[in-house]
Amino acid sequence: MGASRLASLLLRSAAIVAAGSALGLALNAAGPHRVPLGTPVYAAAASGTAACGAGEAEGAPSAQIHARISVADAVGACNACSAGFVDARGADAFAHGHISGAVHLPPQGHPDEAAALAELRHFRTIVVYDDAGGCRLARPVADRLRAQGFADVRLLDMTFTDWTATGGPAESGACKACQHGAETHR
Amino acid sequence: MTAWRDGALAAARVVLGGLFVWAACTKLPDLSLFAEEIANYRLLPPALVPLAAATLPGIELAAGAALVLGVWTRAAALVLDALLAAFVGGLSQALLRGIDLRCGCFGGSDTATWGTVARDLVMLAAGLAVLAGGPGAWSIDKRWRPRAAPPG
Repeated sequence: MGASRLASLLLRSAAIVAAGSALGLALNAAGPHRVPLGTPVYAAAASGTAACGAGEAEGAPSAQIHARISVADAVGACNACSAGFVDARGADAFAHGHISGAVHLPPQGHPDEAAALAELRHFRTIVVYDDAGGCRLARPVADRLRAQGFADVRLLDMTFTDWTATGGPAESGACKACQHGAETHR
Repeated sequence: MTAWRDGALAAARVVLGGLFVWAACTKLPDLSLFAEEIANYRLLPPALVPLAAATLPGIELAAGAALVLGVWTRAAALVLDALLAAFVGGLSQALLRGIDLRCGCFGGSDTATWGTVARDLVMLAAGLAVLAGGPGAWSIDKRWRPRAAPPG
């Protein structure tokens, strides 16, 4: 291949990259779940604000790294009803207060897990949270949801206490989705 | 022999380009999630991850479509080969470091494994064949300029 042909090949490759980049940026700007270009994105276990660092998890280590979602993004998703929320804490804590519309699904399972999962199937994105620090409770629940076929399962970057502190919508009472479950409060 | 060669080049172009167009289409609905998957490879500085997440699907889409159509074929193959080489490197370093992560290749929740690396190597071989062999007869490049094949 001559030098002029090689130069032409490289120029055309650069043009494809430039056109593709412009296309990607335009589609990102118009997309429903765009990524803010000015906001750094950290690895799942590397964020300074991560409540779910791999080394912090208590109990059995999780086999998977789950994507996280910030409280600000989660509040937006909650207000827009674009994500399903799963509370992995105990039943007493759930009844006392939880994210509005959240389904109660602790790590040890739920008496009416089928109803809880059916409620979550309405959503493409599932956000799991707890109040355990290190996501001791949320992680295994997220693992289980992934195993049940939920593709987009995220861990809330902070805890339910942080959620209420930032003014996120919350309510109290039993799990409405688990209408058949007479769960024992613990 | 020429017909066989043209057919093989056309098949390689359409399959490889189609896979990249499909891959881009699975990422575009949620680039925020794709950014988190890129970050989990722990290769790029966190500040550069959003830019990579926003531009990569567009590059895949543009180069993939060019390859399928046979427009600037060699240039499109070069771009996709460079991407595949980067994917093989990124996946391999993550697996060697014991990072358990989602591939992020075609959306969904596929876990990255050495099988993923092998798949990318097969795609890279197809891309290199197109880069070396050119667009073949069944392409816009050849139809428009049948006597002097363009380098790309």
